[in-house]
Amino acid sequence: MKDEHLSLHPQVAMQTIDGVAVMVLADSGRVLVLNALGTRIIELLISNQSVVDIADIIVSEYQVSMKEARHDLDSFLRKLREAGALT
Amino acid sequence: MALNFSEPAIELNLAGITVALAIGDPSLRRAVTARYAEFIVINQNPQAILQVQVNHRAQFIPMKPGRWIIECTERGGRLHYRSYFDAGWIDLERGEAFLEIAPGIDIENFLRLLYAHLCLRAGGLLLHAAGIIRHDLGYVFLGPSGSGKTTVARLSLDDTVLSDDLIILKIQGSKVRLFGVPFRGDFLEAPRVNQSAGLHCLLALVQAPQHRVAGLTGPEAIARLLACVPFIITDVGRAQRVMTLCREIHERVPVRALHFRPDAGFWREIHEG
Repeated sequence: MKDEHLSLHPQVAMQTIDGVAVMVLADSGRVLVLNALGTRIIELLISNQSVVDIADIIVSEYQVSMKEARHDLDSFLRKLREAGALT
Repeated sequence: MALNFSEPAIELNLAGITVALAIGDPSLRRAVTARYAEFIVINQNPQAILQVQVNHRAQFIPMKPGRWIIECTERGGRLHYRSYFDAGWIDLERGEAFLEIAPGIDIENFLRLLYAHLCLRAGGLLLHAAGIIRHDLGYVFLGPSGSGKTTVARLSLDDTVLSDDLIILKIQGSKVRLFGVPFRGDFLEAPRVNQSAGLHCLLALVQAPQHRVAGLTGPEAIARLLACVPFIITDVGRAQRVMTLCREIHERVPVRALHFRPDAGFWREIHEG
């Protein structure tokens, strides 16, 4: 896992509805509804936390192993990248 | 914009939004007047003027097999539109639009794009959905192509079918109003009905072996609405405005999932649900 800072793509519109992030990718019109964990990760990205810092926070908040946190975080961020939601 | 034609403009009014169509070509004028007769008004104050010019040599994209291509881009403060045999631009700030079109091609694709943007500016949404008025109440059936909008419309002929493809929603105080538009999907023979009704509920279509109405969470409901907003989510500012409008609609009117099979029994499920 690289210790990088990621941001939402400037063409992403997002609102939090009932505690869950709904994202619209203006480039493609695609709509994504995140779950509570995904929403938390996006909040941390927006607050300029690095990927490694986010993994640490997930371990402490969700009581999972670092290996599991990094695996799931990598997978989630890869999906967002593929959707064009991250830069 | 100076109008370079001698005939009066054809004024089209959808959901209270008027577009003056400046069409000089007699054949196209006749076709437009016949097609949109129910929606033509006189002496309204237009929100936009669309000048249409017929060009016998108009071809903007080489024909190729596959899906019908419509390209929309934004530059220089204008929305640019291009398809095989028609191309034009929209200047929303000035309320002006221009379309160059080959003979025999209708202006509807461009009108849909124009109205999608004008609706948003008026605080409304053009939605990819079937609209039906039943017992004076408005029902909207949402879904992408192939989800069953036309089927629902065909199964509701005892009611007033506004459209099987596109409708307009406008927030009016604590309520939402449903408006018909003269744009059709596959149900081409349906009458073009210029009526409106208070919106009772929105139903996201899911094809299933049994009829069932199911609740949706707030985020799911908003996402279903967003996915049915055509043309205008091409810019992050507009995407935010559309999301806010979808939330406001959802706050006023329930959005549910309708699992249905192709028979009219789904209406009983809606009324009981």
